[in-house]
Amino acid sequence: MIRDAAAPLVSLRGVGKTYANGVRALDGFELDVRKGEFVSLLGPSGCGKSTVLRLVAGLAPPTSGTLASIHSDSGTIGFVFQEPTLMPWASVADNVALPLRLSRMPDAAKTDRVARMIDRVGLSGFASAYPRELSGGMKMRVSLARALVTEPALLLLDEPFAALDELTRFKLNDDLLALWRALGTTVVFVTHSVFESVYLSQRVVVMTPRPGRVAREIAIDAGAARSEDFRTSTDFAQLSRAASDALRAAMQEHAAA
Amino acid sequence: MSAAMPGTDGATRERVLRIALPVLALGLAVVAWDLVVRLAALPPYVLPGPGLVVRTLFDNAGVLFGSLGVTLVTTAEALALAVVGGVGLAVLFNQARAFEYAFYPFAVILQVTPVIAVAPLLLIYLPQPLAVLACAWIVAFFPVLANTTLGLQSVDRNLVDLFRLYGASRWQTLCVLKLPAALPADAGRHPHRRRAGADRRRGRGNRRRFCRRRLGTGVPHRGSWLPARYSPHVRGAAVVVAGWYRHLFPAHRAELPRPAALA
Repeated sequence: MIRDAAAPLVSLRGVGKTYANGVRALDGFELDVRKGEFVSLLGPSGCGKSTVLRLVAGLAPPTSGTLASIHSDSGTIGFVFQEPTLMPWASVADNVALPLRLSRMPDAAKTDRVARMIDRVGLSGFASAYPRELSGGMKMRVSLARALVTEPALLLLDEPFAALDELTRFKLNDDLLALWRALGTTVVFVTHSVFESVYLSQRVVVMTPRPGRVAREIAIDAGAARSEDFRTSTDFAQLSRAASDALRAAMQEHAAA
Repeated sequence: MSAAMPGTDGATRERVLRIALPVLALGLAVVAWDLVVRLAALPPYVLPGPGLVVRTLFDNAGVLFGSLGVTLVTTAEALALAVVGGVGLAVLFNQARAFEYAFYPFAVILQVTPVIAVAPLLLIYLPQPLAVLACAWIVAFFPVLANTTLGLQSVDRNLVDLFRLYGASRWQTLCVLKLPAALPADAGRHPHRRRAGADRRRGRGNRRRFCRRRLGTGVPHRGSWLPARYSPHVRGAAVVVAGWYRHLFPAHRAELPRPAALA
């Protein structure tokens, strides 16, 4: 499934991040993300997963180490936050159109792209609805559409489905996978759910908390067979256990340190 | 006002109550006032009765209504100037922190100085109509400044990050994000305006929930989309400003054709 084994799209080498209040969020963090990959960062809350995304997006600079990422200005990076983060005064269409509007795309092209992306995330007919009229899952779909409307090379998701109920989350997981396959975007997905990370990604990067470091990487070799069957397969159970063990080991290591 | 009245559901009854009760209370207060004056035989220079007040209002209508006109015009002018000055300064503060640190204390001093203390000075410095205008302006200016400053600062941090991610200019961040956010939720998308067909019942439910959350009441009124911490005259002004803002920046209107029905 690795489409281009050459130069990675994102590369973090010995990256550290210490915040102004003295919190060491990351230390010696190493990560390569290749083009077209779906990578999950798995770890407990407060282990610096979100910090990794912010660094990769260029929203904050690292305090040490080197970071190579793509330039974010022109909509080459899409970002989905834990909350839908929509503008409550703007319709679904206006929210999705925001990145294009900020890059001053002409109206005609914009309208067409926005409409297509709204269809794509399954919100046809809701273009002129307002966020307060939508359910939590639908708001997240709008957020996803907004992140994808610029056809970004890199999509960063920060625990996007954490607040949703399980059925909605499963549905959105499947839809995200379908979008990833269709658009060929590189995805970095942050989650604290073992099952979600195993189900979605080709590679699960397990992190230790405070300071955040890579504890283990688990390759998920399930090809394109991600469906309800995969979710109930023994492969899935074994991989989940492996990821779960790695996560527990990482946390114990932290507790012992 | 009984529940058996034909075509009266809960909402209509509540509306009737909200009008009838204050009218009734006011009527009773006037009657009580009249009784106190009559029974205690109070002379008019201590407390005139309601009848005398109304009679005087009619007898001196020319003078009184002329004055009312002058007061209303001054009020409107002062409000307009306060909105322009307050919003303008709040935007300036928001764009340049140093400027805010330097000059916000002045605004606070202006606010805590009693108008009655500066009024005589203003009357010496300025011609009388201008001095009155200045006094009214001092009263109206600070709430506009304070509320707008607060509104501009209370933008969702993630949205600010999103704007940075897409390389938005300061101007874009101000116009597309901060100003609409400073006008609290749904300005111009007032639920009153969007009730039609199948959406009607849900719209009303939303509106009432919205009002209860924001104002602690069940019934919306003009400017009811503003949080309760805003004083009534700021709300009134915000309704006007919101209207103009939406007129000047129509980009917030839906750009796609509205679907036939919302599922």
